[in-house]
Amino acid sequence: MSFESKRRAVMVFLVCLAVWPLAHRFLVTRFEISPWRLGGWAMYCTPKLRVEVGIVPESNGKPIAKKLPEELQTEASDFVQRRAVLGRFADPRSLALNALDKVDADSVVITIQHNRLDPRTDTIVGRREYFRYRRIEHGLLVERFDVRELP
Amino acid sequence: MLELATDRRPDGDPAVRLHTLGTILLLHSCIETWFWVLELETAVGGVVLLGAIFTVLLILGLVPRFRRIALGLTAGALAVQLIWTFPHIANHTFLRLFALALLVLADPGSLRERRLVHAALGWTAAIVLFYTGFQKMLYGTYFRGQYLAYMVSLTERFSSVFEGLIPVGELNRLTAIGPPVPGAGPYSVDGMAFLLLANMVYMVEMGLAAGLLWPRTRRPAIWMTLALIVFIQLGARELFFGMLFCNLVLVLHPRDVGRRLLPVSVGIYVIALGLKAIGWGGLVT
Repeated sequence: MSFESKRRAVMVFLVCLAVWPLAHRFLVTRFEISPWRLGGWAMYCTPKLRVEVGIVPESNGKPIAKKLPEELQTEASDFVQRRAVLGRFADPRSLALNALDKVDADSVVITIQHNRLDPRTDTIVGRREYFRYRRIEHGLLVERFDVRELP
Repeated sequence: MLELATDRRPDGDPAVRLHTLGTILLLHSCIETWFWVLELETAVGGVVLLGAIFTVLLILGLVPRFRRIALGLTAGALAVQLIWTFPHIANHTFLRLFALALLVLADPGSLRERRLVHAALGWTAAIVLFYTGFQKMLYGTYFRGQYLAYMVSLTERFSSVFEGLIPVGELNRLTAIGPPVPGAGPYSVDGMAFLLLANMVYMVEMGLAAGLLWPRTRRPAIWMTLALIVFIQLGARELFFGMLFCNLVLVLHPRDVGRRLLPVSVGIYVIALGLKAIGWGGLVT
């Protein structure tokens, strides 16, 4: 590799290093990725708050009280960790599919709540989204049916 | 422009500084992985294997003729680790990979390649330092000290660092807020000294980044950056980020200070691993 090629490679690397944190900031706002991860250098900018995920099985559109199998709870816990880093890029679809497989239910509601420190009010605020997954003949139907701003 | 971050004299040779950083990176990779092994409740074969690989590469890297190969293989093993553990990767791991890859790029026999890589490492340190400050501005959580107030409310080590700057009534209010659930707060402090400090954090970080690049201010900027990192680590206690970034910044010093401080760095790594092995490793992460 010639000196000029190495110099070019270094320049490309440095430009990417300088531009990526701005893209990262956009992804945090738009897709809720973690400010603390993925090389955005935004550690200690905002608290590392836990993402909360809930799974509610339904029968005929009504919630049913059922203890979730341990395997499903473990999977949900893994999903929580992935979602905390990857934000909306971590899709709950496979979690929903497994929930439908393992729990005797027509549909399943998955709630995902991201919390953050709001610099305007100086308080913790949250946003909880509700997704309903229902099996259809050739796949899975998903609808986001509610979004609540917390508190 | 690129050369701004290396020595001003065209014949300035950063060979010793690059060599020192290489040693630190090999040692860091080895120690951090063994830390990881010791943190696991049950041994995971892949992590132990990774620790063994980094240890062998550290030893190999101490032999001059195998140095570049060891650095290259360490970068390769680290890349595999990143893929394996994605997305749970600390930012300093990316920094370590970048530094390793840059060191491998330089032909050891070419002065201008060493200077190129030295400049790239200098820019890398400056860009990262600049963004650690700039992001704080973008997030807007330091203007009224909100983030630091949050940390004070939640962790004893932060409250002990900042207690002298916060009026007693405010400190009591913050520590009584409780868990960070929606509605918790307000995380703001009515104390001038605390607010000044919170706003100085991002300004100093961005200012020092510029200072590292400018040859006239480089030396004081290096020492001030080291002092800033030590101050931040009083609260954060992130040994691996702190050590890595300190050594990356020291690469910029024209008088091979990093080489003279190498025994200190090695001592810190070894002592930290020793403490971890006897169960006192919770002091740092």
